[in-house]
Amino acid sequence: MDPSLAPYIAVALIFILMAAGVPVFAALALSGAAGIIMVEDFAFLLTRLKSLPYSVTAVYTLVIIPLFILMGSFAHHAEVGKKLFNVASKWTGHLPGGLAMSSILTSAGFAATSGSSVATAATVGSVALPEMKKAGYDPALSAGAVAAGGVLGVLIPPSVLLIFYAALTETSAGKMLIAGFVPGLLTTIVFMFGIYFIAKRGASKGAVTPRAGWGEAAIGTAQAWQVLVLFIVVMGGIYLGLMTPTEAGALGAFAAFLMLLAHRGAWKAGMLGKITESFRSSIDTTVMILFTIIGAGVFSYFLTLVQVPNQLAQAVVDSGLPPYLVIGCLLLVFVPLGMFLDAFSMMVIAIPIMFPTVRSLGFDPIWFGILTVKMCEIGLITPPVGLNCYVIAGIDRETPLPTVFRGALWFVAMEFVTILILFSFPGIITWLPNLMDAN
Amino acid sequence: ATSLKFDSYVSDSAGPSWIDRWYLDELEKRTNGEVEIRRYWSGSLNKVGEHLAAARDGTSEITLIAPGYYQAELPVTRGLEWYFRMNRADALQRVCREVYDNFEPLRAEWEQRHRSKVLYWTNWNYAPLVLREPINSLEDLKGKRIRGYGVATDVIEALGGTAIPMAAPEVYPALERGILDGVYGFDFVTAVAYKLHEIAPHFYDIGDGPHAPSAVIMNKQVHDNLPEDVRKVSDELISEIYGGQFSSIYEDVLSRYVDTATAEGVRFATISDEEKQRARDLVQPAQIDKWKKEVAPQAGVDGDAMQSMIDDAIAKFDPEGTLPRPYEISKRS
Amino acid sequence: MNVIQATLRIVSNLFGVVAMLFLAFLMFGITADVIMRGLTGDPLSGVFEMSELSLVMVVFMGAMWAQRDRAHIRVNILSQRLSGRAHRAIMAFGWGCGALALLMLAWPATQEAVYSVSIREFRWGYTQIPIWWTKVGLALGLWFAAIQMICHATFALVQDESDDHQPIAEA
Ligand code: NA
Ligand code: NA
Repeated sequence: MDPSLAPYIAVALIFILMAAGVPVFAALALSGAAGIIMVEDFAFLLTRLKSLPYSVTAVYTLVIIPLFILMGSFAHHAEVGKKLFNVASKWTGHLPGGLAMSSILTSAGFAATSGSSVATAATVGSVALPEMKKAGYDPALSAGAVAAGGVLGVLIPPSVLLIFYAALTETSAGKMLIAGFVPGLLTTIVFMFGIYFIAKRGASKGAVTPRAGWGEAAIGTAQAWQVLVLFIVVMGGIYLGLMTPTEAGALGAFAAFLMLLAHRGAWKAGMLGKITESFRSSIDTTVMILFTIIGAGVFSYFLTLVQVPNQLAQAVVDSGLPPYLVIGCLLLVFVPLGMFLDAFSMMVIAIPIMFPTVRSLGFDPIWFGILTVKMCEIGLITPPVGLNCYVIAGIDRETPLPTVFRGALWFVAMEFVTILILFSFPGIITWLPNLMDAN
Repeated sequence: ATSLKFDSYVSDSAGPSWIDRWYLDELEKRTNGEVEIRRYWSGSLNKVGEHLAAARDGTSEITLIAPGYYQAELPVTRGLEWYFRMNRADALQRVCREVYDNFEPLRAEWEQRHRSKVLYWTNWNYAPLVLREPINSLEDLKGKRIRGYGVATDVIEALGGTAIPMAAPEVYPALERGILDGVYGFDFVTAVAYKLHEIAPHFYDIGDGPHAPSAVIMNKQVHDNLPEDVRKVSDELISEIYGGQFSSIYEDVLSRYVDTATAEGVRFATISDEEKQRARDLVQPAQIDKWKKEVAPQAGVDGDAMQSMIDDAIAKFDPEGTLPRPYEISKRS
Repeated sequence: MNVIQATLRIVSNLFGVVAMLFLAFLMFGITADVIMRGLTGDPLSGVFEMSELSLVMVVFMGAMWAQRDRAHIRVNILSQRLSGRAHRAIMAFGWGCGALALLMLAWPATQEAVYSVSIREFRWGYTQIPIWWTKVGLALGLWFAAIQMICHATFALVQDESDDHQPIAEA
């Protein structure tokens, strides 16, 4: 067999296996394995897989995932999440799509403490989805909103991905972080407008909560003092320099655990049961996410091995197109890549190939960096491999995966609108980092 | 044609990568297309910690190994890791080759145990002590929280600081928020690439000498089966690397990074000779003795014999070393 | 069959409790580390190194619970539309592929675990922490998850498993 056909066969296999109802992690792992066998052999595959499950999971930066899920789970049983969400919905719930907007706002707030997209989606998802369901929201819209809200996690600082881009291209890490802030806000606003129009035109049209007066909204906010405590523990801890985001996840979970212990309702319903349930559901979701990462790891090893991403990026670099078109095409390369690869892999492979061209054409590295990060983030919500959507489908077991992806597609469209705005008006990205020079 | 995979856990602009790229490019060039090498940087193919097994088992043919990530697997090689024992990074490279050629257990560790041939020893040039606030003497390090890893933690603790282990991507924000007061064990080029100086601009040369060796290895079977002419070209390149290419490539890279760093506000500084001596006495020979006492016997090697061979090699090569430290380069202009 | 089911249930609970303990360690351990550092300036040694290892244990010791609770996501558009023998076949195929993937990981992971134990593998951070035991736990977790998945595939073929996303109260 012609080995150059291997990527096509492997990709087709993913779709076939997933459509046949094979668990996602297995569909990815088996397709990747088939690809590796096609270009190497079975012995090579088994040798490569010896250390893969360990090296993919024994990663400190992933420790944040179970911790924030656990925090969400305790908070849910302590009914803290409900209160948090009440606050947001008191202010926006009367608008069409108001609750979905609240979850976007909550994501933005959470993104300011966490550098992880998946952690953001998992945390906000576990809080907001049940409430939106109760209010009669279209499951696609609500799932899409929390999955997409997660992408704010790596845009609004702190963000591991922004720092990573800076290190790869040797641009200022400080400027990259600052540069993510305004585009993060813009994305938030575009998402909220988008939700407004979607909701107004059909989905969840009737699902609005009664308008709360300013007074009521203020009282509701004051009652959610536990939220304030969690907020201070998590955000304050990070900003005061007392801890890293991962550590804040642990402290947040601990604080939520104490709140559960202090929650009278939970004692009535059986405290031990609540605690065990929180742990078990957090473990379930963590296993699902990490196994999916393992499966994706096998598949991405295959794609990397045959150098598909490099060839795509190189083709655009060598294309000889006019400058703006080259940049546009370079960014578009991330769409097919993002269907299968995670953001880090894409950056590591593509940026060293793309960046010299970007620089020699005289474009601002920070501007290109933010656009790249945004393109990479889209991959988290596009099928077939979209980790944020997997996480949401894992948390909300009643909404099937295709529905989540369908809802997320609206937000993919909104992302493209945002990227087009940022592409056309570079000043939106560059003015804040440029202020740093002025000082 | 011979198709090979080169697999590195660091980016193509990291310190040793400049040497590696020269070797790979020249190997392709001088064999007139007979050898073709696919390059995988930044752990894009195998993740950090997997590269030794990849070379051993033959899923990758050539790879960069930093022994720090394979502590249990490379106990003899760990005998080559130190601070405060010599001065020049290019000399460290030759010291490693000398010991590899003459100390049989070291060679066996690579060639038999891990079925890989060390093509050439390389290293991370120099690792400045990167600090947020300037210090007047080593006394000021007391209680400072400094990110460290491996042997670097020994140094931090010996100087009275608190060593804090931390994942690399969390280092910048941790400095920014004051969780860390400084960073040690990042080589100079990497520290500049990560822009640590935006938060911590004080780069101290504390007289610790070159920073940790690493090795570029090739699967032994692949190496033994290379066509005669290809192996000849490779051997030729390797002798050029030891014969001056290493220092000339590295000096060029360091000069450029010193320029960048200076332009971006790095303050190069050093401490007095007495202070350096005091630091050296705190770290050595304690660190080497620890290896002799704890690691060598377990690995079944004569630690004294290896270390005295190293002492001789240092005496022989260190005075010949020429690769300047970033601090020295910064004072030139 | 019942004996197998009962055995798997016991093993999954045993492993699940271990996973819980490690998750609890992550929460309490890191919290204690932060508090210690805040109070004394010194971190609790070993917590950072143990964090990664704990995550490994949470994932592979928790794998059986996750499958019992049907936490692995899958697309069921096709299987929902089928019934009878076709439905049984497609469900069995899905879990069968899951089992195959797990076996494909379990066998090499076992070789890795044997190697890791033979060299008493440890990782080096601020303190040396042995890691060989996590690789053993990883391989064990994968093997039992694979066996459990094979059973699920068999049950699905024989008894017909519903498509509901709801957790199922059996092995
Ligand atoms: Na963030
Ligand atoms: Na995707």
